[in-house]
Amino acid sequence: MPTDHEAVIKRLLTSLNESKYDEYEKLLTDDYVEEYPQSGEVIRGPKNSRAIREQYPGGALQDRIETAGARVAATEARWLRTPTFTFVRVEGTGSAGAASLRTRYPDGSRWWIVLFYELRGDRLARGTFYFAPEFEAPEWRKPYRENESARP
Amino acid sequence: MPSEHESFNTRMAKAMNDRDFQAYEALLTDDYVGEYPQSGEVIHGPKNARAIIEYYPGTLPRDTLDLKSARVGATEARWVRTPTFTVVRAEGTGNVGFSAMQSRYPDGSTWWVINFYELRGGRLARSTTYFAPLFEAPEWRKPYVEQRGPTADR
Repeated sequence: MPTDHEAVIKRLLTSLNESKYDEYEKLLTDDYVEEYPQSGEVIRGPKNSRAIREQYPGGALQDRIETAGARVAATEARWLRTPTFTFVRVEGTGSAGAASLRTRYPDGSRWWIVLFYELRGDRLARGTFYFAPEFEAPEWRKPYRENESARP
Repeated sequence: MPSEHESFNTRMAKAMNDRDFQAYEALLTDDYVGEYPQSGEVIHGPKNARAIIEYYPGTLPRDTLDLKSARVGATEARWVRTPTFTVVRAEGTGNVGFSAMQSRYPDGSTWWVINFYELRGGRLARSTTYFAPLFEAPEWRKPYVEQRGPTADR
């Protein structure tokens, strides 16, 4: 049976938005690995991943992740990591996906979190996270863009 | 079989790294739409997309993209956009991929460029791009974290 990616991601977001860290921890596999390529940080195991959320300076905000703006793409493919960290597709049941979500930080700033992930069963086994701040559209690009907004 | 996605990403990166804007434009469909959710910008058509790369203030350097850092995930799924912009999976042959790679900017800074994209006939039809700066790992997280090096192997 294919994994319901949307349901798993939704459960993760709800547990974080409601600061239910016991629940959050259970949604991760015991050998869960989380990585932040922007800083080079690697976090291993549900306990460490939980600690990072729970002990965020300034405190965790309730409902800080906007589920309405979430985009999730699930796949029927399985990722395989080559020695050079390229992801290539191999056959298998769908374990990989990508998601982007908008979040508020304690200082009031808004960021997008972009996540490449792998599921095992209904739990998150691996996550590669990117953090991208909102920014003002620069003047020089005005001639080339529409007036519509890509923000949710 | 190496996927269409891998060869597409290689050609796209080569066009940008060689500053070959003609080749870049030819890799986009006529009705290409690019969006930057961080700023809300939406770019329609290959000409506009090309202008943004070509006229970047200070000029994007040759070899702006670090291919060693590239991560590409392709899928067998097709995205369908709902009115609320949620992306859901529908049946079909794989036209969707995601990629992340490091890019150097004219001011010397390095950013990760992350792209959710859709291909049509080997060309880019839609992309949603995010730009994420490098940052120093904060002190408070150190007890919970292992640290990788400062280079593309992140």
